[in-house]
Amino acid sequence: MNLRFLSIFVALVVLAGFSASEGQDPVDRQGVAQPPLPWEVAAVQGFRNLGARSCSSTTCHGSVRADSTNDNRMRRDEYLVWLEEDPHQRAHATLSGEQSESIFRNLGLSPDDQRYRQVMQKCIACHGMPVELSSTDSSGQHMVYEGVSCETCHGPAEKWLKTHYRTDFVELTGAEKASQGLFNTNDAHQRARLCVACHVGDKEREVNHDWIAAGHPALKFELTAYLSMMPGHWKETRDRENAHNPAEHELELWLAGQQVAADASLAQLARRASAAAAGQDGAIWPEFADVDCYSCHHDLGAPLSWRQKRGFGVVQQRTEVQRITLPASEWYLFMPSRLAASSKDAAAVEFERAWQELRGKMAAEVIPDDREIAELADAARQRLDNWLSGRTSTADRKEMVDMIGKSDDPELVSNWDRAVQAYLALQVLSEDRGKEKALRQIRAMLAFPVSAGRQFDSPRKFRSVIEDIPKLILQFQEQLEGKQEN
Amino acid sequence: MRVLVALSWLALILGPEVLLSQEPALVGEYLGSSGCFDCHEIPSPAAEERLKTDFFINLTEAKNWVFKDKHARAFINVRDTDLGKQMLEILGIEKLAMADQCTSCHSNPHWLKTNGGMEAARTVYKESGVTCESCHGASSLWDTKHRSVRWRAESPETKVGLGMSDIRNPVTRASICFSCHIGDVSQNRVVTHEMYAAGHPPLPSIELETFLEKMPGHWRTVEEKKSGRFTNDDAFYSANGISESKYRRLESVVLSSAVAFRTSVKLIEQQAARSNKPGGPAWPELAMFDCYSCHHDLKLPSWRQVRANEVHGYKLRPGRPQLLYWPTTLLPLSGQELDGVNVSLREVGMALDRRPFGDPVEIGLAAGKVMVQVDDLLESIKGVSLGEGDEVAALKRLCALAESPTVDYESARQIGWAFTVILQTYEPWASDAAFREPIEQLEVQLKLNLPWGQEGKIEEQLHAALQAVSDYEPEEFREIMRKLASLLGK
Amino acid sequence: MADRRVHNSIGERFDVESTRHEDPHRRLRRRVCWGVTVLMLAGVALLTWNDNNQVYQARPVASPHRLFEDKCEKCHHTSFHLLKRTVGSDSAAFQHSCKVCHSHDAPDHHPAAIATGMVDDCTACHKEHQGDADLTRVTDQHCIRCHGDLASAGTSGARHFSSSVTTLADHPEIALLRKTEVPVSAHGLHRVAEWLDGQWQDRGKLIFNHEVHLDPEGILVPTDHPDYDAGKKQQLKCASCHQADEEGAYMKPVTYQQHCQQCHQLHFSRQLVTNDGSLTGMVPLPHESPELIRGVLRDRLMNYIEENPGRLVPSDDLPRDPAKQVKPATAEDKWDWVEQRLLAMEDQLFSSGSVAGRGDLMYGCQRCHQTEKQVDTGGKVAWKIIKPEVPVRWLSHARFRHDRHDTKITLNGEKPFSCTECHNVNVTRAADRSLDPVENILASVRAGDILMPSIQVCRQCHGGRLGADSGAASDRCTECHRYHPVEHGGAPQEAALLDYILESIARKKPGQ
Repeated sequence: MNLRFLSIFVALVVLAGFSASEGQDPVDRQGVAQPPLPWEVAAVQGFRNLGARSCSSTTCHGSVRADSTNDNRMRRDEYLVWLEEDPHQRAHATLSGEQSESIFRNLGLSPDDQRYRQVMQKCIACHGMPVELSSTDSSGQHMVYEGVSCETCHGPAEKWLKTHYRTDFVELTGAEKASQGLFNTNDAHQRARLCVACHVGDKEREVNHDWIAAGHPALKFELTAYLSMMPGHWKETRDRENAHNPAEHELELWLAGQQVAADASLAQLARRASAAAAGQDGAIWPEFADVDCYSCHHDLGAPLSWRQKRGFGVVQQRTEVQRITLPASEWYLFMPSRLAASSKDAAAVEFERAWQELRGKMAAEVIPDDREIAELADAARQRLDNWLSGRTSTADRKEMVDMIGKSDDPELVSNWDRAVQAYLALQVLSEDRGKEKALRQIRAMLAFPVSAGRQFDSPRKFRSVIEDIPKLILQFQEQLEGKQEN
Repeated sequence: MRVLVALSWLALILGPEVLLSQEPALVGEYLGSSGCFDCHEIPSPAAEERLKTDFFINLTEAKNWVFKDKHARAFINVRDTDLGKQMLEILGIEKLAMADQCTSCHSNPHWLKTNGGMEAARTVYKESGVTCESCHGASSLWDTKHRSVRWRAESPETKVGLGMSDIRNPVTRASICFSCHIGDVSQNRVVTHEMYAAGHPPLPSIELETFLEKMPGHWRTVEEKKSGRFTNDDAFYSANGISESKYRRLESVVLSSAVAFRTSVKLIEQQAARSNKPGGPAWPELAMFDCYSCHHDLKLPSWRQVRANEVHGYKLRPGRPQLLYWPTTLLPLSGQELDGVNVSLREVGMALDRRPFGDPVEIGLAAGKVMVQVDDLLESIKGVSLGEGDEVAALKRLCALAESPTVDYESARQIGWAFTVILQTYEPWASDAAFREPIEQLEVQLKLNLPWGQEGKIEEQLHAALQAVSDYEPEEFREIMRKLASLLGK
Repeated sequence: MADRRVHNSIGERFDVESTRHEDPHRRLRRRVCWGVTVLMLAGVALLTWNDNNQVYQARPVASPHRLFEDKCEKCHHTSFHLLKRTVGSDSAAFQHSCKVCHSHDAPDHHPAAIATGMVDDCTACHKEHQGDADLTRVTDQHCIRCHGDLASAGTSGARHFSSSVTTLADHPEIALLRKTEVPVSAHGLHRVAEWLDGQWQDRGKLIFNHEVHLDPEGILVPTDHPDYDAGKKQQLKCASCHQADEEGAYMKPVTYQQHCQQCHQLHFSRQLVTNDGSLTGMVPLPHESPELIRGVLRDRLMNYIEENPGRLVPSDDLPRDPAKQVKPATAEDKWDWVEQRLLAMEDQLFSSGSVAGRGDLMYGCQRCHQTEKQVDTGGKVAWKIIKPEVPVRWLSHARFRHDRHDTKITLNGEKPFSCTECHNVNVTRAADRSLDPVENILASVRAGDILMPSIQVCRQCHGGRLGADSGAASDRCTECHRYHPVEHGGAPQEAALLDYILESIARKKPGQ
């Protein structure tokens, strides 16, 4: 490494540190400011939300029967799909459910506690329409109950409700529509930004380990998996149309999801670390939500457990003896790292290096140095953006297959998080909507078991399937190759 | 009060040296146990003759120790079993005898340091494992003196002054046992998290009376001594203040539980002090915290969430690693006022709340305050004399303790052991068949039967033992205790 | 005996000669007098032949009463009436009151008015014997008698009403549109409106949005409409739903069957749709009460599960994320499945509001109706739809004919009125005067909005040439106000009329 490169690197790190400490989101996408997310639109442009009722007329989006013609890009029954089947509609209702009550109880908050309202506001940031509850417009109060409703994702409808079906509007570009407040959900990257803001976290939205211990489900998000589980209220043909490469639109979604989620998770880590470094009130460091869940949450096993065989620490080799600490969570970063490792791109190599450095520092001590981590996380984020935003092509099948690599690579199954991410990547490659026998078997192995009437929430049987999963991956890969040959 | 506070500050300022150097002042040197075997292994014919009328000791202690007691095989078990070998491999230890972190408990490091390795078989036989001197103290100054009949009439202070530990004193005895079974930084007796990760079986909670009973003992109990006469017996009894009380067992349970608490708090204090020293190990030492606070498979529904983390009246934040629960479980048995202890423990809890694992300075200070309270408690417990009905009250108290929301696996074991051991000496219930079934259920649920003695192999039972931790449900435990309570009530 | 009168005295006193010469006209006079008298009597006899009393009448009666105009006794006391009239004592007293034929029900107003003593009975306002005049044409003076200064008229209802109304010009705004709360029921106002949130609002418990339905760009036709065509739009106008009755006076009620059903067919759930989306799975629900709906749903669910027993078993389509738990179906048998789904569907149809955790999300029946949940002591849930009771007649004490207001006369000839020329006020948005009148109505989004025209609108034409900028249409009180209740009309009772007719053709004796 020559001096010039080193000085540039240092300058970048310092800059990243500055921007982190100022609490701004660095502009990504190579200097282009991102369009505001729907709830930001209200603050930035001042458009109002009108509520899901405004979309739900039977003649517009509230019909019972879906449109069966091919050329109409509307499904017509969007509202009903959302209302009846989408868990997003129930998002607010869960806040008054049993589980929610027990979470508040475990946090030591009763409804007459002043902090209860503050915490509830934070819940509503994800679980309800983000309207100002103190506004004098009483219609806003009702909208909170709609959960994650139409305008939460598509933007406040005030300006475009009466115009969005007219031809002159339909022909506008996505960016022009966005200037009216209609968020561009067609673009994979933008869609990923939307989902990730709640399902991973951002400045106002955070689920930390205190909450998870109180009972909130842990956040493990993967875009294509979640989209496949969400009852879609749009026509799949439209997804294909909007992709850069219609044949591989799911790959594109996968890559966008991985990029944005990794970015958000690094940003969250940086935010938490800098808050702790600045000594902010309520900052928690180390934050266990940034640590790999199941490296702690496992019953102590038999002598000669698989972890002892595998080894501990960052490098996870048997010969290394080092302090056992809390390894960083790899859920969001494993696949980008693997993709980078298999790529020849210089930017990719940079990112991989930055990530490994961050990982090493996180695992160096039980309580890593917060200032260092903040800087490294920001640096890794910059590198990630440099690499993936600078790509001219989207993900292609061969690249993904190469990334998965050899089925018996121990890296793929060295912990549950990695195994599941690999499995989900294989799902994306699947030709039969995930119905291949090998994939089903892998899923059964990775699923959390039920035993003695109790549902486990951690991969208790993972230890017993480590040998078998690589075999199934091989089976699947052969199946793919067989198909491709044909 | 202020003096105490000032003292604790002083303790902090003067540095951890003050704390760390509180190991029992080494009086004399370690001679090694081979000498003990000369007399204590097999009595000579002359000694045999004398033993017929002198009921003080039986002179086969060393043989019993080596052939029956697990402690004697501590070193060999590590060196020769698969589990031990795995540990050594992972930790990168080539010669066990040279590894201080292991031999500080599993052998006598002082002797090993001055005497090189442990190759000769004969040496292994006599000097490996927990040796005579590990508990009875460095013997150079009292080795010759103690052979005399007059020795037994000496006061314990004299003996301690010469280096012989006063094992008959329940507090001292407990401290010595707990220094390994819980830990002691000043004697380098600490199991670190790396060692656990390498394979060290998790240290179970320890209820001293039970453990002593199952050891098996290599000594003559007071009852056995009293069944006969021996030279200087009156002098012996008066010098050592041996309790005549038939509540000796209950006393021992209560005292040793308090000492266990003290030992565990001291461990925290010492570790905090170590981390506070510049150049000391980084905070935290993960093994200091309750293992199963983190190491549990997530279950739904979870009894831990329902427990809602209330410790000693203070509601802790969920999801934070906690200190061991079990040392405080049996404290209410003492019948003493626990407010002082609770208030000081609350401070520790608050320090853990403020940040995960707590700040070492805060923790050190808080632990110091707890130590002060615990010492007070110990003093007040010593002053209590037990009477009629105290045992029954203790048994009933134990059943009530089971209803506490913080009864995790190890705490439940404490209750189970204490109950069983007190019940054993209390007639008519000790032989009452109605109690047998629930107690058996307890034994199965809580794995109260550890692999005692040399027959029991830890490695073989380890998996089942850890499984029992994972399967533990406090409500099931409470049901058994309620059944026992109803039997007591009759 | 001989006449002792002295001739001279007689001669001095009396011109004897006079008896010799007769007045030449005397005979004629006499004859004429006698002749005339006889003729007169004959004439009177002729005129009053057959009880023809016309000769005595003050003036002819109005045309509705011509049927018995010569039968004074139908109304008046006729005994010695000739004499009484001649002498001058009033024989116009009524023997039978107007109520013999006309409605017995007096309007609320009437007893109040009578109590003041200003009005005795029907004839106080309805003057007969004015010739062929419209009896119903009560002049304003009769109203102003009290309403000119209501306070001193001493009526009990004085405080509800404006204290002084003399012409249309100083007539107050109609009560519906007033901004004040009228404390006690005022004339049928409470039949149509209720005071909510500081203003009068339509009482009908229906949820409806004019703005959406009258979108000038047209609205999309739903997929289940028989005319469905992707992209086809329909433009609704006022007259699409508000149609006048046969007479043309008032608007027929808007009904679901006629006006709403075409677009708002009562499909509500996608869950019962079979995979091929066949029509059989999509028969709409009947527009009936919740009890009936419950029966229909149960029936359909039973049919569905009979035909698709596979639904009892959970599908083997697992969520992709292995961490997601799959909750297996807990239905033990078909009946269980049906009952579970039934509860959920009813909830979807009927529950709403923030209490139900759904905020403004409205679906199913609560899209338009307000619903009520009733839980009995056994925990069973029953739903009730609150009756909409959309007012059909708004100003029930007035009369109005929409057909008479079809066209207006302007300087440029006759022009048709459009609905919004009069109905141009949206009370609830009256503050937003920036919107032009048409937009005002179109901007009505709540069913509670009152869209009745203000009195200003009426005054534009009904000025009676008194106002400078008003038209010439009549501005009499009775042009709009009714005194007698609408329902009970002024029409004569048929029985009484029939009686008379039969009597007069002698088929029936009076009283039979």
